Amino acid sequence: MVRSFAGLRIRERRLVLGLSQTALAREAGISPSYLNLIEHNRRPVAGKVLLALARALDVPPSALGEQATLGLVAALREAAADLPVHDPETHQIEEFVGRYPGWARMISTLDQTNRELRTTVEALGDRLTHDPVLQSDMHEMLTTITAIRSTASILATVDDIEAPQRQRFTRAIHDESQRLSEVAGALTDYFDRTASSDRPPATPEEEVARILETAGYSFTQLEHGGEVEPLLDTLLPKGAAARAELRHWLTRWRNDAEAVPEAVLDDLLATPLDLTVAARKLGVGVAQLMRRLAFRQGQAPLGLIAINGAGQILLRRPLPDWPISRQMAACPLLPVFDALWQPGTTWPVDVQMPGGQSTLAICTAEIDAPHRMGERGRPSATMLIVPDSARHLFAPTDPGTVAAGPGCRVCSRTRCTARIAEPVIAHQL
Amino acid sequence: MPKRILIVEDEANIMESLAFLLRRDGFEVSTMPDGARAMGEAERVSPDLMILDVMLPNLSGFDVLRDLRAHDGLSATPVMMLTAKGQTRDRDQAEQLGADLFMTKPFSNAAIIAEARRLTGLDP
Repeated sequence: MVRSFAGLRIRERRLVLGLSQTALAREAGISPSYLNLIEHNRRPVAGKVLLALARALDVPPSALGEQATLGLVAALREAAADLPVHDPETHQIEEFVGRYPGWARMISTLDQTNRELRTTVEALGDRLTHDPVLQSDMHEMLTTITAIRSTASILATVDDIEAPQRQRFTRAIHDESQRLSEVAGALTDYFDRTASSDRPPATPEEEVARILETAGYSFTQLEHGGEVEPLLDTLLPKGAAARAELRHWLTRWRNDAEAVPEAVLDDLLATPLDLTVAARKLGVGVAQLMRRLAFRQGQAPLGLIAINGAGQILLRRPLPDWPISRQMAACPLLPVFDALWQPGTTWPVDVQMPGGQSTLAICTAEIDAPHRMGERGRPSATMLIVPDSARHLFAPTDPGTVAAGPGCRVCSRTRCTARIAEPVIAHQL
Repeated sequence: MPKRILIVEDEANIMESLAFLLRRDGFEVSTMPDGARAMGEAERVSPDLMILDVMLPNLSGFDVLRDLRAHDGLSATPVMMLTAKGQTRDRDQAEQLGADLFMTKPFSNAAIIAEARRLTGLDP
């Protein structure tokens, strides 16, 4: 049985407004003694009296009524049952809801979000192990690989195969390879399709990321001193936090465009580019030039990661072959983290991923100028990711090689000394 | 008298390479790509070993195995099951139905030959 805590809320609100019982009772048209009984939950409050009190306390009647309380108490009971390990004071839920309805609503919302995320994670895990499309494609791949392996092994180890039989085996390898690439293509399409979701963005960061991705990270409206605010209005971020973050992002984009105008950028890219030389010539930072290159419309898009001194990702432009997760910790072997220790230096390096593919990365780091005496400059590092299709834009170099990965949770590299978490997907998958 | 092996496998290229290998090793090999017709072929050739794929058209490898074990004259035939699914559930089911060996694709040719020789009593 839920007891009434409307009285408690009326009392709390009255004290916040600095009203005496007498003053509130007069305002609401009831006697002070009746109000006293209501505030101590000895009389129910509803109807006209509730409306009058709500008006006098300048809150909507629902904020004082019982319906919201009932729902919230039930929601918090559910949350408490969900995480009993914290041993919440369940016998005081009603009092908590009565006293702190805002906090109660927040806990209830967090619990609801937590449930939804858990369901999503379970569904994704389930999909990986039981999805009929995946199972069927995996079966097909293994069957095809078996045929190729068995036949290739015969051709490699048996010398006296008659010509027609040898021809049939060769043909079989050709056909099965073709089939294997078709299955692999179908799997890739499947993952592409399932990755794009109609789900609304869960966080302001996700909302901004989607807006940037849709715009191709490029905003030509800002190219020649265009205003940020009107553009924000057309991009329509829903929440205040998303709007603030997007404003910050667009302002930096405009400043970068001002420092390195489009025409200058086009001139630079007419011949293979040395970032250090070009930045010095223009009087801009290498990181700023890297941002300008990554956040523009181009035939061959470049990726970018910028981090602060704590290793948090500040800016990201992922590429199809280089997904950069917002939530997941990046691989500590990425050279952008090494760059933090060498501010003022810009160097190229080939980053080798667990699958064997290698991508050119150009890293740099700088220290922001402090604003006042005694303040320390803050370091940041930026890594430009140059896929093979864009390698011709840069002056040829002889980069060294580092091994890295996509982040521990999704990395298949075994025996990695930098691993701090087990992968969520078993290696055999 | 050579040992007889019946391969029940619907993947033509796998079947051809297995048949080639086993014939080369001195076995007499029959092939059948269809689960529903596997028992008829087994009755015809009375194999010393059946190599049986799990995923077959018309009748699964498990169903063929069940029929084989219930057959008066063929119930003792050794069976090597092939599957692309290495799941415990499949392995358990194969064992319960009386499979002698469970091979997971992709397998090595050498392992198939060695196991075929063992199951037909040519090698210990």
